[in-house]
Amino acid sequence: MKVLAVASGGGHWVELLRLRLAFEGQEVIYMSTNESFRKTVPESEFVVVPEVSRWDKLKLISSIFKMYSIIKSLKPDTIITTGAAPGVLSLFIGKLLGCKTIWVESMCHAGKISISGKMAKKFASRVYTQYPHLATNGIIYSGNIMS
Amino acid sequence: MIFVTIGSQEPFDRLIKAVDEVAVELKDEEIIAQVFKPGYEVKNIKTVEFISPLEYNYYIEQADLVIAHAGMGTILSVLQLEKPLLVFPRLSKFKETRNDHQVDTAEWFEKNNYLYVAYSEQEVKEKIRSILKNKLGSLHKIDGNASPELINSIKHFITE
Repeated sequence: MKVLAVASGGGHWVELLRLRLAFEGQEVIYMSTNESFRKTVPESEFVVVPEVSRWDKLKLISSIFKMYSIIKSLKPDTIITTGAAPGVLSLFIGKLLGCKTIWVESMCHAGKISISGKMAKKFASRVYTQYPHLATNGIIYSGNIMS
Repeated sequence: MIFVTIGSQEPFDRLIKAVDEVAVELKDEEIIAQVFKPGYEVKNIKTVEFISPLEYNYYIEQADLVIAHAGMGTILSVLQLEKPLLVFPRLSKFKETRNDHQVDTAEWFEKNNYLYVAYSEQEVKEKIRSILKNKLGSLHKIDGNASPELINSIKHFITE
C-alpha cells in the first residue's frame, strides 16, 4: 500500500508527523509546502508543492493542476492530511483518482469544525475530529495527536 | 532564559510589547523573542527572526519558561520538551488571525491543565511574574506520537 501524507506548515505538519506510527509497514510519501521539512522525514520520499490559499483564486487554479499531475504520477492508494488548504485539495484530487482519503481535523479547532474540515467532509472517505464534543455521525472521534 | 515565540505566519505585536514592558522588572532574566515582521520596536529584550527548526528546538530546550501564541505547532513542541508554557491567544479583531480559533484552543488546554493562559496583555505580565516568583513548572508532558486509539483507527482504515 502506498500512503501519501499531506500537510501545510506550522502545526499541521507537526501533527502529521505524530501520526507516523499509523503508516508503519506502508510505503509513505510526504507532501508539504516547505522545502525545509524534507529534513524531518529523512527515511521517506518528500514532495514539495506550492502553498494554496482559498483567497487567491488564480493561484489556486494553477496549484490544482500542478498537484493533480504530481498525485497522478505518485499513484497513492490512500491520501491522509491534517490540513490546511493544500490538504483539502489533495483529498479532492485523491477522490477524483479513486484513492481512499482521510481528513484529520487539526487540534487547533477545538470550538468548531473548520471551513476546510467541512469542505473535506463532502468528499473524504473518512473524517476525524480530535475532540469528542465535535464528533457527529459523519465525523469520527478516536483519540487525538497527543498521547 | 525565557523564550518567546509567535510562529512564522503573522506578526503578534501585542505579545512582544507586553513581554518587552515586563522585562524592565526582570533584569536578571535573559529574554529572547522569535518575531515575525514586527511593527513594534523592542527596547528590553533580544529578538531573532527566521530561525531554523533546529534552532527553534534549541531555544525551547534552553528555556525555563516559554511564552507563545496558542498555535498547535508551538504547544506540541513545548509540551514534548516538558517546559512550562504560557500562551496568549491571537485575536481576529486585531487582525492577528482570521478567526478566534486560538481562544478555543487555549481554553481547552487550560481546562485540561496542560498550560498557563493569559487573555489580555495585563494578564501576560501578571502570569509571567507569578510563574517566575513561584517557580511554577511544566504542567504536562507528551511523547512524540498520537494516542494509540487514533493510530490504530487510521492504521486499520488504511489496510482494510
